[in-house]
Amino acid sequence: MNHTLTRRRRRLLTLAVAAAVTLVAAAGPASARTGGGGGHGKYRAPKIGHVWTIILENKSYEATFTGLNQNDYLWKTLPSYGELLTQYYGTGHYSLDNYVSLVAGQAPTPDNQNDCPQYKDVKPGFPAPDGQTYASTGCVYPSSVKTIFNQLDQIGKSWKIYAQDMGNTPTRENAYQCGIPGNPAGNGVVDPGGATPADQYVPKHNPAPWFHSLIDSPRDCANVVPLNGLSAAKGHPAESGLAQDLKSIKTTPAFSWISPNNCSDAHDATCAGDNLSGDPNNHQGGLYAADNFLKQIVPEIMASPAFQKDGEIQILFDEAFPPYKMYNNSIADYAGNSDPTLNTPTDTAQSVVACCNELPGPNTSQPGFQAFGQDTTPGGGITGAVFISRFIKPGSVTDQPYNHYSWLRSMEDLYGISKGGTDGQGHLGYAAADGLRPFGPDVYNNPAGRAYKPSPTGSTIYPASATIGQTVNPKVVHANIPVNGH
Amino acid sequence: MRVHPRCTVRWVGSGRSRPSARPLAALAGVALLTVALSACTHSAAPDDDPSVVLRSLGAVPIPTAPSAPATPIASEQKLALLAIGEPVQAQLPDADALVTALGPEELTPYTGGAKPPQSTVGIITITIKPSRGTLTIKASDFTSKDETGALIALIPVGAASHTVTAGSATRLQVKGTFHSGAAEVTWRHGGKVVAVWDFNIELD
Repeated sequence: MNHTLTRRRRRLLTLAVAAAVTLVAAAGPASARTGGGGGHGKYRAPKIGHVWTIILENKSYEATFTGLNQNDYLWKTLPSYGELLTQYYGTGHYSLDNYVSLVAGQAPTPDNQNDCPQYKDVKPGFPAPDGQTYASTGCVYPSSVKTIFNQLDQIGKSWKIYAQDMGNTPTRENAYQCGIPGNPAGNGVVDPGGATPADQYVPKHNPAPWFHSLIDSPRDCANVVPLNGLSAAKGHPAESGLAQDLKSIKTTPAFSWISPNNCSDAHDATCAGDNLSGDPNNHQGGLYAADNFLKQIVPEIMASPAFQKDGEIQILFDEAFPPYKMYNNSIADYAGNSDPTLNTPTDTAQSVVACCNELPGPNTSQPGFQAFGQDTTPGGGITGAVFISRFIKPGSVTDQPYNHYSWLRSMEDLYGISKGGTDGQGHLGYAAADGLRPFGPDVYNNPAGRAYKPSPTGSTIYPASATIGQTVNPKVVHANIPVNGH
Repeated sequence: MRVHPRCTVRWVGSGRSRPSARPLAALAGVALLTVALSACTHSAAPDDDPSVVLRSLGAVPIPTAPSAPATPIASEQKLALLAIGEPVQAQLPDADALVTALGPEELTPYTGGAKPPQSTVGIITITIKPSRGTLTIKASDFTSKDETGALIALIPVGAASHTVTAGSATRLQVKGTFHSGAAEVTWRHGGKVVAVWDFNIELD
């Protein structure tokens, strides 16, 4: 047999292969083209069209995912339908700085790591290196500081923030202006709010009120609504809530941020108001209340056409509170602090409070705020996270470290935001950090999207890898089983 | 089954090739097939219609809430480890009772302002509903420890002892000073541990 091709035929075949390869590249999703030294080589995430990010509060991985608390739904049920990210980290303490890091890539500042005792404008507000902002006081960023929501506006992707209870007591927060607790000019608003029995919304758990790039835009604030919608008022049309928006793909935003109230997000140990248990005398909070919320909202989202088509649910926590005992070395008993009051048994080592080369930023040397005896290191601790999507195998686990900046970079890549930002490639602030790893094939481990039956947590385990390009071979304990007929 | 037009796969090529050309032609064909399947997988459905995806890839199963677990049973011989708020059916020599620990409820919750406090005074409420016999429960039956093992002193709020009979109910309250982090409260009956409830203290 003659294996020699004629020159013409060889050229034709070469062109065909080249064309095919080009078509493969062109037909792939316009997402997750990583670059700038940050990605998984040539990895592209599947074309996820709709994301719901549900943000919970203040729990360590051990508190949530090892059976210490009354939260079987989040601990056991949901990971068997998706993936558990065992090493997902917060970026600071306490709450607010984490929200700011998530949506804008800004590092903690003295006021927002203290949950903004006074709702007022950031000063001086000048640009700092790496897309950061000098902020010695205040917590409301100037309009020059952009968020993922502004980026989505720029590329024409729809988004909404759903904040449970927002506006229940209209004198506490303005539901028609992004949920702000008042005017941040001048001295602003002192003590911008805790939960009350009738209104458990707190501004510090809503990412919108902290950016002039959002609160000064009526168009953007129309996207920041109570979970159950907003009735019309003078100058403001009615806004639909989550349940109504989920009815069709056309009405479902491409990106939905969900801030449960201070009870449903597991923040309050004893809730000021309703905990969705159905018992008006039951005010148990913590992860028990978060489970009540998730039992209602997760099936509601998953039954929606948008989720079934190409959706992803992400359940995150902002930061980790003790206990931190998962890795044994978490209670470091560090005794070298110059301040002897920090030499306590709850000292935490850097390995369990930060990851991913997190930098402290220009405004504070201690993004950890020395909370819980944390030493002078950045980070908000390991919280863990759960993701559910048809592009993720049920029961899978990844041990790869990620943090809030990784989340932001991943979202920017997922939506195809590839221009502007700090690096000129669409990444804001520290999401543009060189070498920062977005969610990779260890997370989106089912790119074909075939639906599988739920599987026990740990069915497939992805170990962490030291370098981005390193091939990771998952350990398959239980093979996934397709749903009937597929 | 309706096939969406964009899922139609066409083999692009000359259609005939000499055997010697087949390996490369097959490679090109596989790549083109991948293109078609990729398009089918990722973007075959019209913008507002998930049906094509559901038919080709299946519906993602939806988790339902787990059925309510049976109330744990504890005795002087077999203690129960519980999350705060969870009831336990205690089977004791002198009584059977449903017992629940709730809280701690902060007396002065942090509402913003200065840096969150490192500790707070909180009240733990114990509810008792006997279904058999008579049960006496005392504040001194309860002890608390934090995650470092340090004891947290508990002081009765109101009566330090309650006796309750089947068919009625009562509650006992104790207060202590709790630090941020994890802790537990232990209930002993007749000097033997019956139940341990754990909880987290949030002070921000």
